[in-house]
Amino acid sequence: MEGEEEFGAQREREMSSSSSSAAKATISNRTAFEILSRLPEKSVLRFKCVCRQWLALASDPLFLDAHTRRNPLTVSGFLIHEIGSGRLSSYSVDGGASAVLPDPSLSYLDHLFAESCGFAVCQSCNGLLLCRSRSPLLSSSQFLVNPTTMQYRQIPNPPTDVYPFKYQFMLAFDPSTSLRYRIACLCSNNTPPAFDLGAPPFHVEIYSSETGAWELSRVLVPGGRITQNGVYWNAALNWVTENGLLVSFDVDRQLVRTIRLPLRDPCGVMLYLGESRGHLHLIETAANVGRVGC
Amino acid sequence: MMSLAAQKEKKIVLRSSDGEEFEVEVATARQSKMISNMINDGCVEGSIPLFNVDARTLAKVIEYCRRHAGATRILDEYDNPNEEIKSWDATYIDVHQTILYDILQAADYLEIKDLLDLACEQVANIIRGKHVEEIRNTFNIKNDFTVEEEKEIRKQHPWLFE
Repeated sequence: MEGEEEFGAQREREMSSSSSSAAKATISNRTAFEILSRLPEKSVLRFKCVCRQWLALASDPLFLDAHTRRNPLTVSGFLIHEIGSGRLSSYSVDGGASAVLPDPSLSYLDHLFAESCGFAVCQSCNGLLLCRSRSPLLSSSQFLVNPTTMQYRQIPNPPTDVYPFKYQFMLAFDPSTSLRYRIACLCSNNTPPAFDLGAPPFHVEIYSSETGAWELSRVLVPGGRITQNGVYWNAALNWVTENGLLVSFDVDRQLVRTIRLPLRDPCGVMLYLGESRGHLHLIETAANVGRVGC
Repeated sequence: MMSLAAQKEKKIVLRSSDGEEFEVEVATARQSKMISNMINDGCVEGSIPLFNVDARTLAKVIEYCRRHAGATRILDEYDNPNEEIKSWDATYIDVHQTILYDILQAADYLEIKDLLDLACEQVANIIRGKHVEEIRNTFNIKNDFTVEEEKEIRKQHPWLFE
């Protein structure tokens, strides 16, 4: 084929005599889009200050959507929350020299909670956090935090007129399907149903980042005390009730599914409910050994 | 006008920006959406002038198109590009950066999606760790921010620039 032979030799030389300038390219917006969408987040953020065009491109929701689809969620590290002290630190698992988060202690939130004995991370979901005052009052404000960009947003409290008792808030966010997030709040007009196996069902109020408002779902979910934080998995919020039901609440379609868990050890203590690599994991202790169900 | 013989063999002629002519099979030329559209619209008379692609780059692009025109017939049973093509692509795109950027621009101009994907993937691997100034230099991009503006953007993620 024409030109093939000389090509290998040319490769070794500098191309200064060539009609196109040496080792330089002029790229179209479309090509820049294609290249940037193949770069890790850290590179994309850094290249925002290359020029105005790249800044606009890297901030465009269409681009962010394409980038997320092309770069499936990977875990670059953990945010560690010490229950006793409330101290926050990060732990890198991707071997990178740079920190997982710009400020793992989230000290930029301190001023928000200055009057309410500090804050606690009450939920985390695919890179977003839900933080609340450490004071036990559930009526205190919550903040949705993106610890990578250090951006945060105050979440209005759900309405208290119909179902004034709020039991748990759960965060639903999966950037591989949509950049919006939802917060579900299990609520009731009954007093706390702790230890009551015949507890009346909960109502669900849902906050959407798109509308910025709470809306009452028409479905009811099984009542009863919940021992672990709900987990967003398989497009649904999942939690385990004290009487051994795994409840799955599909946030988009507003459907509830329950599965009775395998017979549990009466002495067992549930230690963990979480999601990893597409599987839901439950860890609880037996009389002698820990066991893991997936 | 195309000769009868050329029509029979289904070949067309591409002319590079520096005037060199390349005779290629129609199936090879059709890997380019731009040329394919021209053929469909019946605008292919004589040779097709490609003002933005020089002979060296065009030769390289044709090499890719020829390989892939044949490859569409040898997809594996699940319609995935087979391992042979993947490894051929990897060798093909492992070129000096000057040529890589020429291929990138040509694939964009000629609308050869698979080649554009391949080149973008390679470019992304090369530039992911680079500094902002190196990126501007590589892509001939003029910094159109004021000093203050750039400082402001860097301030948003200072940890990325350490």
